[in-house]
Amino acid sequence: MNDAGTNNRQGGAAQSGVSHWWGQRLTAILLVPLALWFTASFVTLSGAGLVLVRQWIASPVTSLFLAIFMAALFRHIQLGLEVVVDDYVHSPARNRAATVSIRIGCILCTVAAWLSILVIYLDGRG
Amino acid sequence: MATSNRPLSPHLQVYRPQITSVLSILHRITGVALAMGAPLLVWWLAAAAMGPEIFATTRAFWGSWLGQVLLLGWTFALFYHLCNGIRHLAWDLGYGFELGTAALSGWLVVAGAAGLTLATWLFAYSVSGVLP
Repeated sequence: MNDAGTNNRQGGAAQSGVSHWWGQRLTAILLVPLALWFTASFVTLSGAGLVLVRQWIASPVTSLFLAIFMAALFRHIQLGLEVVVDDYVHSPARNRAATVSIRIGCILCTVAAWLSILVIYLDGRG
Repeated sequence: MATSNRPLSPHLQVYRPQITSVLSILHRITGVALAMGAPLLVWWLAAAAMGPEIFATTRAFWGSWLGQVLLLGWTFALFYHLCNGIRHLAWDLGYGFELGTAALSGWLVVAGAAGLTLATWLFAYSVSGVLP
């Protein structure tokens, strides 16, 4: 038995098992090419007007890559910030509050990004 | 369980800063900084979706000196976190733990991040035509 009152030895002390560790690595590996691709594209668009920016986002390949990029990015951010919070916020109530806020914030950002991409994609089709 | 009188460890301030330890905390600092910047990326997408007026406002901000300083900081943070992240992935696979190798890979990461930041900004200015 551990502090949490459970007997799940595979889960480790935090009860999250190895999925947190793997999630952070898998999103990291995804983000290496995606972040480089996005930065190169973003820089190429510097100084470009809204029409060109929307044209770029609306292409099927870009919108798909952007959607994956945003999901991987905010998942990676969520997992990373959780580790930081666990290291510095020791009060269980505050730790929980910070972790929940981070999760909600990351989900909201991903959904807002997806909606924006979808709106531009659909507008580019029609 | 009384936890208040336990000694705190480690006392980081008694250690002399080394390239490995400085870069380790820099990975976390750049990670948090990038997390703070990421919602602005969503704002850029949302502004593009919402229309010309809002998009023009965001562009004006990123073109201002404050916006440019922030973008420069985030460019370096991104490339540093990316390069050092690859260093971390190599460690996860069991490579590069020797002291000399860890110090060398650390300096390579700093040089790589600085070089990529410089190249990105030279390219950005050559595209937008602000600098020759």
